[in-house]
Amino acid sequence: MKGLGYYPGCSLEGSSQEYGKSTEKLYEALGFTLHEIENWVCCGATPGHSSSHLLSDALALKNLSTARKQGIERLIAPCMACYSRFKFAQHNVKDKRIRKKLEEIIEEKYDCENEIEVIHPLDNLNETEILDKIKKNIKKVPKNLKTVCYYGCVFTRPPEVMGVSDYENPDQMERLLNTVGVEVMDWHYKTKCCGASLSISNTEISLDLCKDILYDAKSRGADMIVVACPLCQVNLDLRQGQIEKRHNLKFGMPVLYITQVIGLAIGLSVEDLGIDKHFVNPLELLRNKGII
Amino acid sequence: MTLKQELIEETEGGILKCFNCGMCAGSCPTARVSNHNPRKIVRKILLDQDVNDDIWLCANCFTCSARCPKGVDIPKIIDHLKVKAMQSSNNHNIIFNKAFLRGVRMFGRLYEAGFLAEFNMRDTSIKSIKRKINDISLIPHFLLKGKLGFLPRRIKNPEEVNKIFEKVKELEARK
Repeated sequence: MKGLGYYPGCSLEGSSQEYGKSTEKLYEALGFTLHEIENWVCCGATPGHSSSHLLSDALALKNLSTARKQGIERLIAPCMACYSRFKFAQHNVKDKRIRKKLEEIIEEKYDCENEIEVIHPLDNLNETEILDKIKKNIKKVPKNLKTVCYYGCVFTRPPEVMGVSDYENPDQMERLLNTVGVEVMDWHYKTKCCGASLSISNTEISLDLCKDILYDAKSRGADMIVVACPLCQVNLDLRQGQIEKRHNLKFGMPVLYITQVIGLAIGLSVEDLGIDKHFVNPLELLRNKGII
Repeated sequence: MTLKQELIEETEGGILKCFNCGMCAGSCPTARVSNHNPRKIVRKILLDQDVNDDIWLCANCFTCSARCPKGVDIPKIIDHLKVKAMQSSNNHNIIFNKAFLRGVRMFGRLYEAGFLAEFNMRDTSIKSIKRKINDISLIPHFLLKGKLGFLPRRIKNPEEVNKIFEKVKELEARK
């Protein structure tokens, strides 16, 4: 695949480095080279679009424009917040009036006819060619590992911006996990919000929302929650102790990235995938299920 | 221009389609655990009443607009209120956003440690004390796992990002 670009984003360089690491190692193991956008800038996330939509769009276009100069045709963006901001910018820039302003800000013409395809690993890994590669490379099949898949908000919403029709019930993670022999259970909280954007500033709200998510996962008998968003992961994992204390409940629910689970299945190591970086320790569970 | 007129313009008339059904409030995750209520916010705007609601409890999940039977872009309406508040008032949510963006403007990327330090230093409200105590207890975990960088990651040309911020400000002042 020529011109496969990569935008890690700030979280994947810092507090969620294991998501970045596991994504990079997984693609490498599947034989793909990811070309990082040179000198990429932060997408601004929620503070960006809460301050100015123009600012948020301009930061995304700046990255897309650099990527285009590098010859990138498809861009992998694993962080849901960054992914969403790219999609919003590409949606907004189609409006001539907005485009004129944005071109003035980034000081260059922006060609929105030949857009770079911004793609999330969840969609990318489900492409037939890659799915076949995963199948061929399966090294370990877990015994009776029960999971629920948590997508959070912006992978599917707003549907007209993200380009999805079934915004309440995505199934990309289910398909991937079924491919590597992991059991997936149905549940209510697939696309409900965990309140991550309020996690630092209005913590209690976010703790209450996370409690419901963890409670549903636990009561269905899930061994772990599988996610694809660094904000959801940090919120459910790092704050799990606070949630347990606030609601006088005990979960002990590991929260792993999809890239880590697929990585384990194709034989990558705990260290390579950063599975030792989580707060709720998943190692014992993974050992019991025979996947490490 | 009244707030209602501004938002009719911003949503290209979309806000006028609201028939007050409450699907947004019923779907809103934070409405369940706080007094934040998107239906009431939209209604107050349409009735030209003061919106004194805590718009900052919107979690940016986009469920309200996805489910709205009339396709009203409620997140855009709330963002409009947030942008206005950012320019004219101050509270811990605004301090949070400004601290986040300051690092981005200076270094080109988020400076996690600096942002958290600045937010916690500038937010001096009594309510913040409990939060700070809880969050300080998480720091050793972060350090132990090597997940918090003390130094900012600076891109080669951060002045270009600063220029974007300035250009945005200039363009927005023009209208």
